[in-house]
Amino acid sequence: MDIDEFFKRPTPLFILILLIVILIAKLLRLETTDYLITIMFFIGIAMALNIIMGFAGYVSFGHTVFLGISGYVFALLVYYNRDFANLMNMYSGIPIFFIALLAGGVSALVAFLVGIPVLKLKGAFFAIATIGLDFAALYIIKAFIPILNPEFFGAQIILPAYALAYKDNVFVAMYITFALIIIANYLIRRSRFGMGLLAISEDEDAAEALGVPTTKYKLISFALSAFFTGMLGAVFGLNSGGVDENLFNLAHTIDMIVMIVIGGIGTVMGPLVGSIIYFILYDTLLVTYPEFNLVILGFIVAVIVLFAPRGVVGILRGKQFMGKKLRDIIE
Amino acid sequence: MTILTDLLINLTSGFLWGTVLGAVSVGLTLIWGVMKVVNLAHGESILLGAYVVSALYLFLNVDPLLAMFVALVSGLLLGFAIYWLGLHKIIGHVDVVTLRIEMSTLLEMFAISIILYNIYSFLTRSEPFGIGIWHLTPISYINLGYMSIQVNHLTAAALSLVATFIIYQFISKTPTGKAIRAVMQDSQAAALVGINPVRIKMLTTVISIGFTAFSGFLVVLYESAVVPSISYKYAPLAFTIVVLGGLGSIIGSYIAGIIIGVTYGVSKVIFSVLVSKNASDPLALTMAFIILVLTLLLKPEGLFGVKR
Repeated sequence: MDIDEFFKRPTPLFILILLIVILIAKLLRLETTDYLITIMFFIGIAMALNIIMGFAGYVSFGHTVFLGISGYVFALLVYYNRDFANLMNMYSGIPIFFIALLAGGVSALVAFLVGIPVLKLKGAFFAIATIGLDFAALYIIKAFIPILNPEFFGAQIILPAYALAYKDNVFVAMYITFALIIIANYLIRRSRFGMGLLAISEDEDAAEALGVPTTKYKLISFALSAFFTGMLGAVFGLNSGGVDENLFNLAHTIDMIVMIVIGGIGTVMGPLVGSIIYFILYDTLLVTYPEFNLVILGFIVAVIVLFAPRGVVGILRGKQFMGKKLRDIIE
Repeated sequence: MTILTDLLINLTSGFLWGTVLGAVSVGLTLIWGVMKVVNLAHGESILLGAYVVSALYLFLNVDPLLAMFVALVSGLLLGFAIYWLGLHKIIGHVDVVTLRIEMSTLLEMFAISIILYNIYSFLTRSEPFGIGIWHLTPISYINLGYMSIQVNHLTAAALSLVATFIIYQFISKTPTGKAIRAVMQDSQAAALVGINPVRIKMLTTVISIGFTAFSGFLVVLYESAVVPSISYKYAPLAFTIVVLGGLGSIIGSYIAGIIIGVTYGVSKVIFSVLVSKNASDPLALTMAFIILVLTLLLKPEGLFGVKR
């Protein structure tokens, strides 16, 4: 694919603009660093879940388990290893990214091992099993973390001063992670692997019959998705100054799934647009109707599932623009 | 206290809790088994009944034994609303339910659960709300020497048995119940012999959500007060129980509920010896989900389900 064709497509252009806008907002201090980190976290978890839910069609309700596992791994690593902790404020935060890679790797490993049996399940059974896994992991962490160290009362780890990083360094780590996730999403969508996943989401048996190695593809996409989710959980935990059982909260699952459903399943643009819409709605509703913001969001999702099952981007993809089918150019 | 008495106490309390869990899961097994609607708003339906009974008792001093019928009616109304507002457009047809439709119902019920959950949180400010120390008899505990049993727990167990028996009779004996089972097996064939599957689907939603709200009364009787986040405890357990008991099997759900309850009680004792007292409760709950994954992999049709 040559450069000209690349820029005729809205998706990579959108990704590029998004990355530049966030960078400019940071450099010109248009928004606080915390706000930008939160935005990237929200968009990131939607894009990470998108690899398994959007492309392969496997709705995972237990994805917060990977936020939790990696969050805890990261916190324990910097809590007990002063070398890691000292590194975090050097080289403008790049080491944070590498420690997050490590923490994400643990999640990927867990996802791989768990995925071997669980990905045999289809549809609702897979969703239910992942909910079960989330609670199992939560209860195990609740049981063992306080035994590890009495200071972790109620499975809460508050990072001490030596294990904290400057906000700017956290921003750099989050920015690299975020860029990695959305670019990986785009590349996967355009690859043979991504096509295989989409085939699985359409009809798994037919895909298998046509020679798509479904088991392998599902496992890889689940592990990749867990890996990215885990990295975000690790950096976000550092940004919050500690981790507790709330990382396992189903509320994050709600966020991820709602963002993908609003935007549209099976696309890269979908969760990107969906998470931006979600974040803006959430943010404005939180100010105007603090008690009802989630009620209103629930209504929006209910209406979208009923009347636009393919989301906002799905509607766009069905339209034509300047004689071109938008389906062909929006990934 | 020796381990043996500890085991006996936990076995008894686990059994009693298990009967409540069984009754809680019956509504889910109906809606999921018959219509392939993955009711992620199950926990919120339970809470509706719990809150209706508690509110009537606290504000109007209505006897909970009377209020439980109001809880049932409120659940029937909620089921009616959920069907016509949320589900009819997705499942209101005769055709076979595909995987894609199943996932749509899952997301739709998920949205409904978000709405209900946050309404409850707003109304109760997430504080415990319940019938407290209400009990049927003048005494609140029955003393059996080395252990005492709460009267409320016994009442909940007895009521759960009666209620499950009634709904089982309804499904297996009445014409409507037979039609429901026919639609569960094959909705197109049912339509050919003159059953209206859409009407049956509506009825099933109404009945199962109604029964779930009624079981919410048992939950508040057992727990004496509820918070919205209790749905995160009961709903996943209910899914585990339904899978273990077999989709669509009422007796299976009830027995599986008892199995999960007893497993919880026994493993709590084992873990408190092996690990620590504080860690025993979360680890015992983990057992339920290990059972869930094992069932899904080894015997996906469940203990009493029909193999497809």
